[in-house]
Amino acid sequence: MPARIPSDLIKRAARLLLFRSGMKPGIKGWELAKTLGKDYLDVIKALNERLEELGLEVITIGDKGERIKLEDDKELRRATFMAVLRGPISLQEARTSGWRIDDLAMLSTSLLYLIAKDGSARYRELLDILRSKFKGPRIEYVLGRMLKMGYLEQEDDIVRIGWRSKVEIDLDKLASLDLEKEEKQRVTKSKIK
Amino acid sequence: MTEILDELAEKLPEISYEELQLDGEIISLLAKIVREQELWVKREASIASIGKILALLKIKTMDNKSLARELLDNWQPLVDLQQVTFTEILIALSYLEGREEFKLGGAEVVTLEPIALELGVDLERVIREVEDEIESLLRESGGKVSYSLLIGKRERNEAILRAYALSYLATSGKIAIIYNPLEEEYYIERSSGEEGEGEAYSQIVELGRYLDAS
Repeated sequence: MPARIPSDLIKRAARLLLFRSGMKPGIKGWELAKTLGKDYLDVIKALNERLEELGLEVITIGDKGERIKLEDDKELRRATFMAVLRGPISLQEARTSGWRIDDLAMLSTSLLYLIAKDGSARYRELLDILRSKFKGPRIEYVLGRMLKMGYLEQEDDIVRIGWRSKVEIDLDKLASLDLEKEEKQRVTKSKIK
Repeated sequence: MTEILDELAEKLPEISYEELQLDGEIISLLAKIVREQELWVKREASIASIGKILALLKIKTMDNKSLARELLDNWQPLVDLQQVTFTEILIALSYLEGREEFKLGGAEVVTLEPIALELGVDLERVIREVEDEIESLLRESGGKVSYSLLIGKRERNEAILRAYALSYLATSGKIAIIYNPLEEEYYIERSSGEEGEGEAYSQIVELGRYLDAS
């Protein structure tokens, strides 16, 4: 049975994880170990249990944005620990957080297009794709916002999938067919008929 | 097929009811495994080879709402609490400074130089991070790491902070920054002193070229 974690340590871990102190959110494993002690993983696991009640979760990310399980201490020391919302969010929740459906659709389209193009495309090319799909003067503004927020990255004329998309979005699932979901929808439709 | 049926007709009377039931369960389980494998292959194929076509198809066929939903189904947004940093206040002040209507009746603009260290960035943390990174890179590379590896290809602010950390570590005698004129490249090496505490080291680095490249 795991040792009981003092609530002071859990509070400290929450502050370290939730308050942004650098350019990007999150904190490195070795920093947590330094502040919380050698049993920092137990503290994080205890914090995770508390966060679960609030619909949040602590995740660990490797150098390339890949998720790492909360097990291998050696690997986790170099990883970045971050807090994310647990599970998918609804359109209504996204709207309440200030996202417009069109903006989300534009991000979705940009990511899908970049996936189809092996991860990068020319800025102009991506802009043309968005213009073919969406109307109005906001397209360049939204694209700029995605770049600024880190969902997309730009180097010279080339746009790539940004660090934030790699961390927050399951890109494999985004570009695949969810067979279970399709099957459920098929069954529901056939029942209605 | 006829051969199989003949063989079954021959063997089935010899098999007991319990054996038949067991065989039936085994066949049912095997069928389940085959189905699971089929689903797995379909899923993997959709990710690996057909993934790109599927991505384009989604763009082509889905309306805005479906595209947004598709994103939301696979999205776990980061949660973090942002604070107003000193840098942001400085930017705001410099903006106000440039606006005539916000100037206070000819009052002199306050100089902000003495508080340059309150940047809203935990410099100690940056220094520790860079120091640990150097330690691990030096171990891997056999004692010499390119300066550009630690500074280049980064956001401008991050690169400047790391350059500051390197400068601090060199001044503290923990590392040495060596210039190789033949390669026109700077390198980080361990300090010559014992236990990583050598003499303060001074070296001018043309930071601009790393920032321009980042």
